[in-house]
Amino acid sequence: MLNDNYFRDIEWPQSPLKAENLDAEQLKQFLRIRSEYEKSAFVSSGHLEVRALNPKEFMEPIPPGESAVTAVAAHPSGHVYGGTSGKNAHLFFYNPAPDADACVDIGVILPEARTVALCVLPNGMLAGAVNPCEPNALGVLFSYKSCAYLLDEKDFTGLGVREIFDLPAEDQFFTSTIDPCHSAGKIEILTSPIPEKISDLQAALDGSCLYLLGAASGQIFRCNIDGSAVECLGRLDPNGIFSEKLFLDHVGNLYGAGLYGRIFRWSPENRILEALPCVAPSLKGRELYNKITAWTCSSDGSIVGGTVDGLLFRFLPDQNKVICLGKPTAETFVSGLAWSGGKLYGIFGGDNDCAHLGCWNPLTGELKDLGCPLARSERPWHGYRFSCMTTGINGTIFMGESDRISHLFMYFPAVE
Amino acid sequence: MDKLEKPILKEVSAIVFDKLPQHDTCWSLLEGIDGKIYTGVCGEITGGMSAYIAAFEPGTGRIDYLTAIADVLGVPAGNGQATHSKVHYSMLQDDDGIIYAATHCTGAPLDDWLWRPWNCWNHPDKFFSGSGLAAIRPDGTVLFSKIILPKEGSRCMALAKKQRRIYGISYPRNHFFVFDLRTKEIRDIGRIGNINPQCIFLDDRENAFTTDDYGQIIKFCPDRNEFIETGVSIPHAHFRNGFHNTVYDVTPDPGANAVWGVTWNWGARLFRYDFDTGRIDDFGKAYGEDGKAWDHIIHDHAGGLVFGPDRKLYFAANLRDAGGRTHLICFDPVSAERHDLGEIAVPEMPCDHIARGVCGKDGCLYLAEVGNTPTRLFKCDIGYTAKAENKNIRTWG
Repeated sequence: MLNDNYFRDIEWPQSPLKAENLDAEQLKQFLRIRSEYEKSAFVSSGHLEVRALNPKEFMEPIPPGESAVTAVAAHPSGHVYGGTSGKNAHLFFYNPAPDADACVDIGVILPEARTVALCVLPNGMLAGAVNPCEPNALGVLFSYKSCAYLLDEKDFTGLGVREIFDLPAEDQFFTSTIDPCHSAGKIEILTSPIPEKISDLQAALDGSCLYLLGAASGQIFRCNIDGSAVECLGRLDPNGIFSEKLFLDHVGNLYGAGLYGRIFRWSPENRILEALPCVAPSLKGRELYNKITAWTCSSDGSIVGGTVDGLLFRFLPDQNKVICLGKPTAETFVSGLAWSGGKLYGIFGGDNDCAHLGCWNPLTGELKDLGCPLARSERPWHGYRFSCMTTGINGTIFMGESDRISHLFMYFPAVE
Repeated sequence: MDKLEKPILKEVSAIVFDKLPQHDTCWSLLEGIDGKIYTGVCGEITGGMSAYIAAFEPGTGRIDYLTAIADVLGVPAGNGQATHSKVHYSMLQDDDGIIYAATHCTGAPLDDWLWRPWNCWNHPDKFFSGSGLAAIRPDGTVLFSKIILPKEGSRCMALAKKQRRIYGISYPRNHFFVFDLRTKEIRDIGRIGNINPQCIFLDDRENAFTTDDYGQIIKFCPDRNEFIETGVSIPHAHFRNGFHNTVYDVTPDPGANAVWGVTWNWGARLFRYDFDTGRIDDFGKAYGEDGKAWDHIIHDHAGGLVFGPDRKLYFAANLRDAGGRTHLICFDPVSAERHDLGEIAVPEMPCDHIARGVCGKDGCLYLAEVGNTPTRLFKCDIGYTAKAENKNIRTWG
């Protein structure tokens, strides 16, 4: 219990707002500061929207606890495909056509699982990897054939007019004034190609094989598209200290990172996993914990990466050079990177943060903290946790939110 | 107990926390098992202050200040960080008298007057250390304290006495959490929406209820550790679509496994939710005519729901027609009649608005005020000398 003595000696702070005789200019400035401050933390350049993981007018979204978007891939058709994690791992697509502009849940890939990777094959098929939550279970490969793919394969022999008429030609959602409809293709669970969980997955440029990273061993594997004929290409670190992400450049070289963020390359020509004299940057003293958490490549082949410390770097494989670009936000952990309009965008922040969107302009070298993602449409929503990012065909940046209740975020950078 | 022919407001007086001359809000309020009225005295506009847990003894009029919560948590109020200057709807009391109070954030650091968590999440000085939960005896003895939500505040909590758990909701990220009083461990159930509810309420089996962004009542089942959607939504003003329609203040029905509540905020509506049947009854605008559009909160706010000795529901409402002044409203649950009993005010300063209310053992209503300095409770004498027995005790903030 606090007695009178306790209070006797307290010098109470004074609020400038409560000062006597504030003049009009002071009051106006207080009001302007307040107005600006309230909004200043949020993205104010460009435009942000979210989409629930189903068309909200017709369907409940993918439920809380299974909607965390942990992998996204942009398809040449313009669709963006996403995989979720949780009580059920779902596959969904976003159709950007103005008559659609919605996500559609394709179905459950696996119960109690995490989607770790999605990639698009040259034939339009998707390959993906999911890890069951059960500790001893092995990672699983799956494929997805869109309606367009299935139509190409379709044998019409013996089908009646009505059966043919109802066949969908593409993955779609269409808000017709008469019959709103949607269609999606088929998910096929393939196999568990490696004796451990899968950390990441990339597809060879020609679609001839898949590259997988073992989540426990740090070994890189190659297998056929159906998961057969598995071959170990080498390991990133003997003690299992490695980055969980792989990257494939525009000429087909595969990259990963081991201890301290040292970059490894496997090229189809040399067929060896070589440690390059290139190390991703880290904050001083944190080298042991360094990881590359995101990679991306611009249309001209420029490779950039982001690290667990929230640093961005440019990787010049021809020169065996890594250039640290800096750290645009106070947040650590780069969850995703994507290019749009000649600029690099990244989403920064770990699970216990309020994520920030950041940007790097290669022409000026400027790094910018764009702020916390806050969308107004199609529902007001703050984005706090993200796992992945990609660029759509029209330059829209898609971000996979990975919270208990999650959405597909879309960022439309400001046109300059 | 004699019943008055019609409800009256005999007298209004203010209980001023004058030892705390810069504090400006009282959000949480409870009637202790010892008959004292407990509140958290908070300071939001002046940076660099601690919230205080205070107790008012109705019989003697004595005010005791149990403790400064920032000191309890070991985070000095003037250390330059966002302060532990607020205990929002996160003060609870157990059957053994122990008070559990958790801090909220919005109080600015010393010498500042404005603070938001998004702006200062990773600021080297001005960050919030995180909601601290303290267990305090009524004599001010602190039994334990712990930072339970790093960087976030606790907006509201409920005490599940039988399960020995506290349920709460974090701010700003809106995560539902479960604090185990036996192990002192917290479990994050995850994000429940974007709009931060102002109340968690319990049924007789200690399931926890709150609302999602669209006002749907969602139920946390402790045996499954997960939420289910009830499919029932709290009512909203006709000019709104239900978005941002969250529960504000909820009080137990004195005779049934049900609650009465008001929504937040424009066009605040009064409702009754029956846990057994899942039925919700909409009693319309809490008081007055339904508006046609949104208004400033100060013109359209209802809170401080409490059943009086006459088993009628009392609450405070800011009335647009009265220039936004705060009036005491009496609602008869049987006839659904409402009476404006008059303004809650004392001569020197009108009431700003009321957050929570309790009925004291002296039959008077005690209402926690928000928005004036120094901050106060209002005591409303409604003509009774003792409270009614009530088997359904409110165990939430």
